Amino acid sequence: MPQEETTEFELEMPAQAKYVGLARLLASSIARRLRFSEESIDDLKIAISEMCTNAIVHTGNGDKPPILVRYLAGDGFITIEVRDRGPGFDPACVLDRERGDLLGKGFGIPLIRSLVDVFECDSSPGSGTVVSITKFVDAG
Amino acid sequence: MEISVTRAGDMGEIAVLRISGVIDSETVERFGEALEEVFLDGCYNIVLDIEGLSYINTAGLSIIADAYKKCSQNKGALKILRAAEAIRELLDVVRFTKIIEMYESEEEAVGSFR
Repeated sequence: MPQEETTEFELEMPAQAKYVGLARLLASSIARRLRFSEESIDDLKIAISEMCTNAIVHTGNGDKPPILVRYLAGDGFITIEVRDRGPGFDPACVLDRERGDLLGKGFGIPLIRSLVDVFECDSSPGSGTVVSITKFVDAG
Repeated sequence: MEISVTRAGDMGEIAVLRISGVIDSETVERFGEALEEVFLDGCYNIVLDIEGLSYINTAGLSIIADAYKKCSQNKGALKILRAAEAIRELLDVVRFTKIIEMYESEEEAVGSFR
């Protein structure tokens, strides 16, 4: 993967925990090619596991629509976006939710924020949720 | 997704699955079923011709990984033929190309079982 080029993958993932490992593997492989440190790769693996787990939990029960994971990698950065088609929520309430009903299903958004350089969350009730993270090579 | 199965090899001991289109949430089950049918026939020498495949999801990748394991456990092998560049790059990134043999010609892929 030449450093100047941008690489993009979009992967559809059934909303099931058994597929999270592949999403994690893809993130770590791309990051390794970009010469991220092993510590940063571990951070990314934890972050994407949390993002996918949250998306699976938010997607609800029954016949779950798939989750979309998008990887964008360029010169010294990787951006990963996880999009679910769950009920969505008000992002302003996210910290309360973290302390409340999501506790015990993963460490959630505060942990993801602490592991990456840029964190974005776009959601509204009824429209699903997009969580996006970016990590830079030099940021360690 | 279109999928067809033909047999190759002197005794028809190799199944060549030609897959085109996309393997996504709508079609992945059919992909798994096609492989299962081949296994039910007792065939564990498989060539996946994916020249016409333009997209594969994580469930499809998992099915390929499981099929590779099943073939190996039954003294057979699974090989991939003519992966398009984008799919090849994905298979490379998830390290499938480190364990699964990739071929550009059917003759070579089929011949590799001898």
